[in-house]
Amino acid sequence: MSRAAIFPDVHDFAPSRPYAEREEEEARWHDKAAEFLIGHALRVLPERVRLPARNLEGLAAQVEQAGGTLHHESDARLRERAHGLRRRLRREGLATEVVTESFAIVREAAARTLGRRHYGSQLMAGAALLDGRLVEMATGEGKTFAATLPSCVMALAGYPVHVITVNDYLAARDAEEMAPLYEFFGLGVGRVVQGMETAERRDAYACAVTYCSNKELAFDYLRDRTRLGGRTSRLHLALDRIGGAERRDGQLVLRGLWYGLVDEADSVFVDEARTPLILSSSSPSQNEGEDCLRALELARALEAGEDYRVDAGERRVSLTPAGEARLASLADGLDGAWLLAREREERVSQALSALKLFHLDQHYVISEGKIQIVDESTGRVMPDRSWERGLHQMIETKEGCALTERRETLARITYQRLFRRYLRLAGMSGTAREVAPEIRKVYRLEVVPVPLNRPSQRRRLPDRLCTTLQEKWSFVAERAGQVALGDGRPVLIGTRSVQASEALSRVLTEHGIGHALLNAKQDGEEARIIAEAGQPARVTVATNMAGRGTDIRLGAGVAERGGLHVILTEFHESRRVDRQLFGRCARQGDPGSCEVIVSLEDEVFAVHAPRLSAWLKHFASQRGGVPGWGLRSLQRLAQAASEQRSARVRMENLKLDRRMEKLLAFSGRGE
Amino acid sequence: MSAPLLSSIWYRVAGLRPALRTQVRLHRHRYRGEVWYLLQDPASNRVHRFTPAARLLIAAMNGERTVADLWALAGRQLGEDAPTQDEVIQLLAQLHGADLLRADVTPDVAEVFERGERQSRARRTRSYANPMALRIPLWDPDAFLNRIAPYVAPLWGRWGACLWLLVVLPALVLVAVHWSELTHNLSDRVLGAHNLLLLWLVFPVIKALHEMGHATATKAGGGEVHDMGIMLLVLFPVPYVEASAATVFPSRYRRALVGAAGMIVELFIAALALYVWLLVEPGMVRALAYNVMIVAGVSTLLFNGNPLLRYDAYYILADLIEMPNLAQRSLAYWGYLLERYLLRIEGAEPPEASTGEKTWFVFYGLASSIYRVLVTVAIALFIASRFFVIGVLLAIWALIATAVVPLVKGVRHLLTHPRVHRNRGRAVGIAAGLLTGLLLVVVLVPAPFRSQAEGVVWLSEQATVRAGANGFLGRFVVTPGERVAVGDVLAQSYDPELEAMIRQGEARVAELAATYAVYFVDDRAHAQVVAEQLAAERVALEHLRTRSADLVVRSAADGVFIAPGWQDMTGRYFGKGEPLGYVTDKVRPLARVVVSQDEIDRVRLATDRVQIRMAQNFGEVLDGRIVRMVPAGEAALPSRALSIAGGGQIAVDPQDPHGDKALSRMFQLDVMLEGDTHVAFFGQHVRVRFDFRPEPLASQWYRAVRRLFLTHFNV
Repeated sequence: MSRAAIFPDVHDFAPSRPYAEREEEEARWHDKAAEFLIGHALRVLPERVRLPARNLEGLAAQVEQAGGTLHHESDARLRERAHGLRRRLRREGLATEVVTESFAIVREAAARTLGRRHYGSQLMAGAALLDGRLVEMATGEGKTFAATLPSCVMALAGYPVHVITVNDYLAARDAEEMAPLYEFFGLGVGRVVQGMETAERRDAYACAVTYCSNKELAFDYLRDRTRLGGRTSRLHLALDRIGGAERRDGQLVLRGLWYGLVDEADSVFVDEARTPLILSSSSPSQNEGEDCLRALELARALEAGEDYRVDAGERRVSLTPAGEARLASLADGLDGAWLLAREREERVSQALSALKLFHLDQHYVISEGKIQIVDESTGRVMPDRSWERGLHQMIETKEGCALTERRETLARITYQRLFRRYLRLAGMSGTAREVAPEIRKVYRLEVVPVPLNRPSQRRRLPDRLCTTLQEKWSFVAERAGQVALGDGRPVLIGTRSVQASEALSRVLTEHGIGHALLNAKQDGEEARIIAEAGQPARVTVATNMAGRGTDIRLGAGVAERGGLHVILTEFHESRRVDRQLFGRCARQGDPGSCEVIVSLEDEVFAVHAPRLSAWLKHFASQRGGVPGWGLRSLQRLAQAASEQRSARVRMENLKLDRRMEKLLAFSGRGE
Repeated sequence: MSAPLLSSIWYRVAGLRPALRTQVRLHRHRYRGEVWYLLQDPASNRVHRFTPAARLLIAAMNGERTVADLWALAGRQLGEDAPTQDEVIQLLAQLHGADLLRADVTPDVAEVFERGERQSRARRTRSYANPMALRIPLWDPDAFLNRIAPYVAPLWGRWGACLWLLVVLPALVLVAVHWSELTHNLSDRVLGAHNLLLLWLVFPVIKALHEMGHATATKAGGGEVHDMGIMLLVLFPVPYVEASAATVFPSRYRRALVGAAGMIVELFIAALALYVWLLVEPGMVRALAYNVMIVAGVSTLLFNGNPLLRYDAYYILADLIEMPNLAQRSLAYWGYLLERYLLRIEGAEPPEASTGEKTWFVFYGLASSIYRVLVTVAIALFIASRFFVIGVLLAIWALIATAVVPLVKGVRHLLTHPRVHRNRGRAVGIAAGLLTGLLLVVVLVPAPFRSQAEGVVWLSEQATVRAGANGFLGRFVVTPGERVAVGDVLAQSYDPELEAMIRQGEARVAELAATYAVYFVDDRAHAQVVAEQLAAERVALEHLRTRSADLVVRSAADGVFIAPGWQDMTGRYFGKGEPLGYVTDKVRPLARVVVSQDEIDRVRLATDRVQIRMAQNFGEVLDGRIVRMVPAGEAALPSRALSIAGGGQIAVDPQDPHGDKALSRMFQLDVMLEGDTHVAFFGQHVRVRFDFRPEPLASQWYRAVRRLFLTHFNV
């Protein structure tokens, strides 16, 4: 019964799994109706009425009070008190009193080990995280530090804690920074990064608190699932042991999905939700390369519009009947895969997608002769990911890279499903408001905004809409020159793709402005470039790599000159990514400014608001400019359209996933 | 774009070694020239239909080949028609969902339990979802059927057919011969109170025999029957039997026979009953036979003989034209047509069907949908008129099932289905436009609005020429058709008895006068007595003379004298007050119209136009105008011609001796006929149509519903 205090519902545990995880259950219609009511109709009510939860502000004040006498106590006494909490936590659950005391103790320990105390806003965030909420904290408010509160409490209660970040670098950094605090209580800190051996991973997950990246966690989970094969329930495992067989559960790496705390939750839960994580093994393939070449050759022989149609918004290519006929005549005389119309058309469609929808330095980069997928929202390469169903090979052929072997899927999961299996899930993000309804629906996580610790000093300068790309780049260069060379402030210029960052880099060079370039191709120097980006008069051109999670520390004297200046050169498909970029300046009470310089020729407008942007172009050519409302409505329309579109695709994926899961019940295995 | 060949979840099934469960039977059928395979699971008595491509996969499943092997095999054998990986997964899932699959791994047990629960829940919902047809399973008749099979099975063969024809064909001839006798006053006999009890007794027995017909025919064909029970059809208990085992019969005629078995049995019974009816004397047995005939002969043809509802005839039709699931597939096809051509959604997948099948879909889907809605509405109205509350609830339920649920589903489909999203804007626009248009038409566009009433042609009292006294009509002084003035003598009647009495009176007066003269001198006292008698006699004589004067028929008005059928009237006896004819002038004839309370308000306030048809010439439509309204309702009818007994439509109080007292209060109003019209005879029936000011349908319906509630609930 001990776990019942914090994880109250036994029905939550999924059956036939080797360790604790939540049963995925689709909400019944009445639950859905209630969710809809809470999400929409009751929006007007104050949060305290809508979500009867603890009073965060009151709790912060109580912690302050409870901590009053603690600093007199010795380290040993503090430790003793901390360990005394376990029984109470297990027995009473997360009652406000225990939580208050635990937070006060953790806070005191943090002051002794890290030299920092949690602010009021961090205490509030910690309490919300403990309750399993998604906390929205403004960028630069010390989310990582706030996360130590709930992770310490959960670890002290004896449950495995996973703190999940978006990449290995952050996982390692955070683990290292926070380790002294955990060690103070005798709690082990593990970290999992790419390239670790199974045994090392097992040790890391065996620690009380484990820092890892979402990708590593997902793959470890998948590996665990495949390792055990068919019969995976604890009963089966126990039966095996009785039968004298070798203990199979010793091969497992994880200890169960108890408490997961996801940093940059919107990125993980929403942006990356679409791409499934695939555990695969290579399988030899026969003359794949030849077929890919042939397919590309045939695809190039077709004419756009007549033989096929490209839907850039949906990212889809479809052959017209005329195209199918043309293809049949082109493929006449070929054999093998080209005999069957269905297979032929599929391959050529694939080739057309490779040619028309996936562009070098935008969707992927080539490094070390290999195709690396670039994640648009983070601007980073996603190593070890590949496109499915032969598209990857097609793109490799297109770029003339060595063909990787077609991978055979062993297991596959999406983040949407993985994270819902946590018995208690919490998240932190700087930008979650926009996707709150979706996150509530999919992960049953309520978004709770936490107030700023210190008021923001960010200034937003007026937006600027140029007519052509050329005009935009030269204006950006001009502004960068003014701010960096004139005022001596550092400038961070965000671009949407690798390609754009390189184009801008050339323009800056032409204007004689020295700058650093950071994109998926240069990720080796990331740490150095970021470290220098806050220096006076420093110009940095970066893709979204410099967005989420990047902490640009200001150099000496920069704050007095007005702090970091951020220029956004193209709106992203979601508003959150824009806000993340703006969030690089004016952190933790520093001054800073940001501005938007975009052009009518930007892809996002052309794809997601084609009519309005065409009309505005026409308007601009007649009147010689576009009024402010034009830009605002264009931005709103394009971003709303693309956000809705991707939200819809995600929900459809999820539905499809669920249906497939039901369909595949006969296969007798998960994932 | 066609579906992709490869599936991203293939890895989960590729290594599986599936096989069919051992009890499953595979049947090969041809439907409209195409081969299909039916998998029958005797355990659940369910049948599943598969294409030859699926059959290939199913047949190749032997528990040793992996799914990947099966797919490769299908690819080699079927070439262009080979299924995609997703289709293979679908097939496996379908087999698993039907509990037909066995594999080398334990399936997800939780899912199996959940599915079982879901199925029983669905079964429950299905049987209780439709309040018009609640199913209550009672009995597994299989063992019983097996016992009687040796005796019954031959009946479903050639000899049975001969016997049936021998009995039924002569009966048909006899029905034709005795047609008028059989159908005379049908509704009175069938719905008469004493007959209803008999119907109640006869109906379930015959319907049970009907279902036994299905069951034994299924048994004779080699199927099993495991479910029999009672269905509450529109709250009326009717037996049912589950004969789906017949689906796998290879011959379509054999399948159709199972569907027709019920009707065959009933017609046979009806024929036997006819013979009884003809042979026995009137009495209980004859009445019983008559009822059996009605139930077994008429009702079965009315209800089961209609393929538009999903009763026997539907299954017979589907079997004969070899289109199983005709109704569902028709609806699916209509859904496709609407999506493709009305909402213009690209990529809507056309259901696989030949041209012939599509034609069937189009016609059947349309006809059956319309018919079903009409029947549902009619049944709901019928019940509402009997049991108001239940009826209204049923009507609401039916409305929800036939209109709201499809609408909600349609909207959800439009908003969420992935196939729609590319054209969602347009599709939603078109759908919303159509709905708005419909709504506007209903709410805004005035629609013709009318009501009908009955009346009689009416004339004022002066204009009627009546016999002033009893007597024989002697002659017409004025030839009918001529103009007359007030006081003109129209006709002369005579009354021989009256004349005799006058003469007698005159003689008595003379006698008494003489007697008086005699006694006047002798006996003054006596004379005084006689004088009194004489005076009385004189008065009596005077009275007779006045009566005699009344035999002269005079006109009470100016105008043209009309006496319908005057040539034959001379010499006929007319009682006092009997009408002889009319004197009409420019005064136009009036129609006195009786309007119910429901309608009077509209008629009074919003009538635009009044049209009249007279019984003398029903084809002619005359215009009219309301000239007078009696501002109060009364029960007495202006003429007995308006009561049901008199050929009208108004129910009268049966206890009223005059037979002209309506059950509810009616309003009377006078409508003047416009233009010159020749009225052949007065007091004839007229039908009057009031055209009201056009009003949108919505407010017309609202008024009707409001009135309904006012009547029943006073709300």
